[in-house]
Amino acid sequence: MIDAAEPAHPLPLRRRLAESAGWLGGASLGLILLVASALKALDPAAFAEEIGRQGVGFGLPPMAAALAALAVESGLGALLLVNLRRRGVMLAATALVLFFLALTGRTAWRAAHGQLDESGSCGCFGNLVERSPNAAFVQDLLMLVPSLALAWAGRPGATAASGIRSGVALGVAAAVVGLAAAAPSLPLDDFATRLHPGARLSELCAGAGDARVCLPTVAPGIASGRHLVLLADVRDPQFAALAARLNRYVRTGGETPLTVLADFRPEEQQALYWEIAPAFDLQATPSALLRPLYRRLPRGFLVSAGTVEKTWAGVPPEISAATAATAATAASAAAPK
Amino acid sequence: MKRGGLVLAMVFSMLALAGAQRLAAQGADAVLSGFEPSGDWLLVVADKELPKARIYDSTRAQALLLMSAELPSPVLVDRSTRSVATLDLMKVAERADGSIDLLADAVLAPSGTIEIENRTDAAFTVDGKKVLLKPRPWMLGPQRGAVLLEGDAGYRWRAKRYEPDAGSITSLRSERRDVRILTFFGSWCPHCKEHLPLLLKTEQRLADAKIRFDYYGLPSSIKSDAEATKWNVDGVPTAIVLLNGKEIGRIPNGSWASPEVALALLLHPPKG
Repeated sequence: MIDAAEPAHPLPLRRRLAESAGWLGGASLGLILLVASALKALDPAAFAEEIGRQGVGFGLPPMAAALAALAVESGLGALLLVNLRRRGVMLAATALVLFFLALTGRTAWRAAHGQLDESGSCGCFGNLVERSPNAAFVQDLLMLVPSLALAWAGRPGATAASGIRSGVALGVAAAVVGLAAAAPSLPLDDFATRLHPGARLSELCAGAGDARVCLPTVAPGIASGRHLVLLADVRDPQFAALAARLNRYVRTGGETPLTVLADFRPEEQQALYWEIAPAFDLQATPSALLRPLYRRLPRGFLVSAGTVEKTWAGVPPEISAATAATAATAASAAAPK
Repeated sequence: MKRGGLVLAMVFSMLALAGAQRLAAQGADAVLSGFEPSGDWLLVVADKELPKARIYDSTRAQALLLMSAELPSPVLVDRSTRSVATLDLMKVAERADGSIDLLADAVLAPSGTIEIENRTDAAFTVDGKKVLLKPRPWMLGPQRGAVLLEGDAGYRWRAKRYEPDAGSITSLRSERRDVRILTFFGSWCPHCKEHLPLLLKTEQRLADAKIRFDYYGLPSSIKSDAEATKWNVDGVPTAIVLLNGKEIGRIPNGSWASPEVALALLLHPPKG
């Protein structure tokens, strides 16, 4: 017996609703994964560092692991976005979400048990993470799990266009990996980092609450006036040669005062004092504050009245020009008459 | 003997001339100036520690200037060439703010080279005396503000140059409750060197007020210190404001440029 009150075609409607909800969930999750992977692709070195820090390279060199992870994340994101929610895709997406949750959950557990040291490496500042490990876990949980759960609903069957959509997703993954491979040599520093013309030093910060530290606290000298600032790695074997150039710039009367921001410990500073004899202002800057400001070191910028005016990949041209002129003068003085 | 003395005098004159030429080459008046009092180093002369020796540092000159009764004359320690020279005390000019300039006609008499020991200590000889310049030991445990200022010329210099906000000082002077400011610091931490003197100056300005200031020096392994753990301190400087023995807040990291303003805001928050 058919109940006369029951709609004539209840299943198609429910099915359509489920499919719509599923598409919405899949598209949301796909978009999140795609945007996240594209952002990471802008600075693959930073992503590789994070993989190394988390110890999740699965035996691969960090950069290879980073590229593989970007391919998987962007490929799955694209597959979900084009509504190709096949069982295999959904299982892979579920595994990826669980993996992310496991990572943030592990970090939260470590933080709760005092096994996480996110303090600035100069040793002065406390915890400089902007979202607490707990908050990161909860945010990931709330953002990823509902979308994932919805995406399982009303999965469409195979269609003739599946092959095309798979191809599109494959193309997107290849594009993201290509972007990651090309990004370091593309002039994208201003887009990929927090440091760009117009940025206020007081907005370049790390940490939350009372522990929040901004650049003017770390380097009060550059908060006012006009300064050249160089972000550098004092542990790079090339740093001694760079420091010699910077010393020359200062000693030959470089017009704009120079400050170098780098991540180092107090004992390293004492050693650098004699080893490179800095004639410039060398300021210890916690890595949590420094890392979001560059993709590759050294990186320079000009700041005026607390606002970034210009940025350069490498040493600012004013320093290069001054040191090149000094070198040329020295060479001509040394040349036989 | 007379001839030997003459030769010696000629040799010294040539060395002095060489020093003067170096000065002239780099523009003595422009470069060998702006020596600021430093509390980072401890001077040891003939195995005797001299905590009261006056030590000045000029980043731009890449040099330290040492002055002590145990040394025959001021000593210039050149970090860039790792060399040491003496100079006439009369060629050292102190500015009103306490920093030092070397006069343009200062003549540097070379006195030898520096040996770096343990990557951080500089050893050399002046007038036959063995001199060692080493990082000053950390100030650890409970400290008084006056002692910190007395013991660190860098703190003293920065405190002298700082002018606290008059309105905040007036507000803090009016405080009649039991207020204690417990400040954890690290004498090794560059940011403490920059900011702690500002609080020390604030304390000086509040000498006649009821607010009590206590300081506690931490090692660089902050979490290894029981007192830091007890007060949940994981960075320095950390100033904890206690009202009737209970914590009511801390000076935020971003407010150390004017700690008296942060203290006044914590103790007398604006209404509404």
